[in-house]
Amino acid sequence: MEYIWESLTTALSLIWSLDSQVLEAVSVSLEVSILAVLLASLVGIPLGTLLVSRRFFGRRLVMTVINTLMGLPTVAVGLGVYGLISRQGPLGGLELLFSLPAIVIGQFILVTPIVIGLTVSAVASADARVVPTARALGASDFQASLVLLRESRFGLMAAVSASFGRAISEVGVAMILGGNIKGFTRTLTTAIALETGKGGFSLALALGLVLLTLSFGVNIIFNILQKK
Amino acid sequence: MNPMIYLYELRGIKKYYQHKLALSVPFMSLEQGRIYALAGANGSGKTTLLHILNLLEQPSAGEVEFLGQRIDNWGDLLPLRGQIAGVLQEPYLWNSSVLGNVTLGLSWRGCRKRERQKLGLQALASVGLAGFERRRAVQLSGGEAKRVALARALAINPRVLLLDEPAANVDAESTGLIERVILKLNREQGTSVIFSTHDFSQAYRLADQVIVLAGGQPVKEPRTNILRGRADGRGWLDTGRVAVRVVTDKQGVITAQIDPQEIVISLQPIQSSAQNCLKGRLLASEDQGRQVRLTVDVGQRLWALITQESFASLGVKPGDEVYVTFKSSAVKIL
Repeated sequence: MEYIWESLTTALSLIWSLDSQVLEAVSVSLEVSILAVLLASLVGIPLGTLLVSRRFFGRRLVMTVINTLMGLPTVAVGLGVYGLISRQGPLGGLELLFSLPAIVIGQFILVTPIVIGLTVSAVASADARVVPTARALGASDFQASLVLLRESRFGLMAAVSASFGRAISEVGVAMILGGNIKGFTRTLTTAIALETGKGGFSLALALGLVLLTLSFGVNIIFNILQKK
Repeated sequence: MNPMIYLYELRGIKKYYQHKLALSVPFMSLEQGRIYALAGANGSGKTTLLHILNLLEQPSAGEVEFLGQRIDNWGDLLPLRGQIAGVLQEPYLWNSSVLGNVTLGLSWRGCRKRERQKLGLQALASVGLAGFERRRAVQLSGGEAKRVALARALAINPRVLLLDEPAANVDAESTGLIERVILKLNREQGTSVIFSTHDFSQAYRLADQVIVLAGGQPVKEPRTNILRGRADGRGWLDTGRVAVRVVTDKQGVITAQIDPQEIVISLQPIQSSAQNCLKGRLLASEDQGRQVRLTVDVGQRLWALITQESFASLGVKPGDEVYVTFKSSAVKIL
C-alpha cells in the first residue's frame, strides 16, 4: 500500500512540475488523436448520414460490418497497417512506419467505424419530420441534410467524444505503428506501457492520471456543450 | 402576377402507395391569389395532394404544371420549390430559438443576417408571438408551436402557402388567429393559400373555393347544403334564390349549412313546428346503400337523405313536386 501511496505522491509532483517527459507524451497523444478523430468525423459523419437516408441493396450487411468493426482490436489494426506501410509492404515507399502520420492512419481506421456507427444511431433517432419539414420550406437535399445533422448534434457529439476516448486510450496502434520513439512517437499509453515494464511506476502512474484527466475533460466539455 | 397563368394545373394525376390508389385527380386548375380548401375526412387524399402541390412527391402518373411550367424532371425543382412554403399537420420545430426557427428558410434563400432578423421578427409579430424570439422552441405550447411553424412559412414570403390541417389539435384562440393570418396574408400580399381541413365549416368560412375530396378523389359537388346569403337580423337568410328561417340575429353576409339528414321530404305541405317548408321539384334520387339521396330544387338545390323504406313509401320519382321541411335550428351558421 505504501508503495502505491509513494508512487502517487511522486506522480502528482511530476505532473505539478510539468515534467518534460509527461508534457511530450501529452502533446503527441493529443496531436495524433485529435487529428485522427477529426479526419474520422469528416469521413464518418457524412457516410453515416448517407447510410440512414439512402436505401440500397446490401445496406443491412454494411451496417453489420460497421457494427463489428466498431470493436476492432487495436493490435489487429496495427498489424494490418504495419503490413501495408513497412518497407516490404505495398506502401513501403512512403516511409510512414514509426512516424506520427502512421499512428494517425491507424487510429483513423480504428475510430471511423465508431463515428459511422454512432452517427447512424444518432441520425436515425432524429424526428422523422425533420427532413420533410425542411423540404416543405424549400430546402435542397443538402440543406435538409445539414438540418438533420444539426438536429442530431447531441448524438454526434457523443460519437465524436467516444471516438476520441477510444483513440487517446489505445496502445496497440501507437506501439506497433509509432514504435514508441522517445520525444517523437511516444504517446501517453505507450509511455505508460514502457515505464511500467521497466519499473518506473511513478512516472507511469503520473501519465495514467493525465490520460484519465484528459478523457474526463473531453467528456465534461461535450457535456457542457450539450446543455447549451 | 399574370392572372391568366394558373397557379397549378393537374391532369390525370394518380398516386399509389404500395399498389394502393391514394389519390386520383383527373383535372384540377387552381388560380393565383385565391384561398382554396381541400376538405374531406381522414384518408381522403388531402395530405397526398398537398405533398404533390408542394412538389415534394412525384405522382405515379399524370402531369403537374406550376405557374405555367410543366414539371418534367422531379429531381431538379429547387427554384420552383423555393416559392412554396408548406406547413405539416404536426409541424416539427428546430431545436433552437424561436427566431432561429423562423429565419432558417431565409438563410437558405441567401438572405443576409440583418434582413433575416427583421423579416423573422415581423413574421413572429404577425402571428401574435412578438417577444417570443429568444425562447427555446421546445418550451412552447402546442398552439404556440403551430403559430411559430406558420411564421416560419410566412417569413420566406412564398407565392403559395400550403397548410395541412392548420387548426388540428389547436386551441380555439390559436385557431382564430391562424384563420385571421391566412385571410390577411391573402388579402394584403395576394399570397395563394391552399389548406386541408376535415372541418367543413372552416373550409367554407375561409376559402374562395372548397374542393371536397372523398376516397382520394375530388367530389364534383359538395354533398352538403351550403346556403350563402344575406341575413336580415330578424331570422331570415336570403340567398337570392331562396329565403329560409334561421336562428341568428346576425346581419350581413353569412354562410350556413343544412345537414341532409335533418330534411324531411313530403308530398303535401306539413303543418308542424318546423319553420321552413318549401315547395320544390325532385331532380334525382341516388341509391346510397341504406339511404337514398334526393336532390330537390327549391330555387336552389338541396340534398336530403332518407331511408330506403321512406323512399319506397313516398313513391316519388324525378320530376314530381315535393315539399322540403326543416327546422330553423337545422340551419347551422358557419
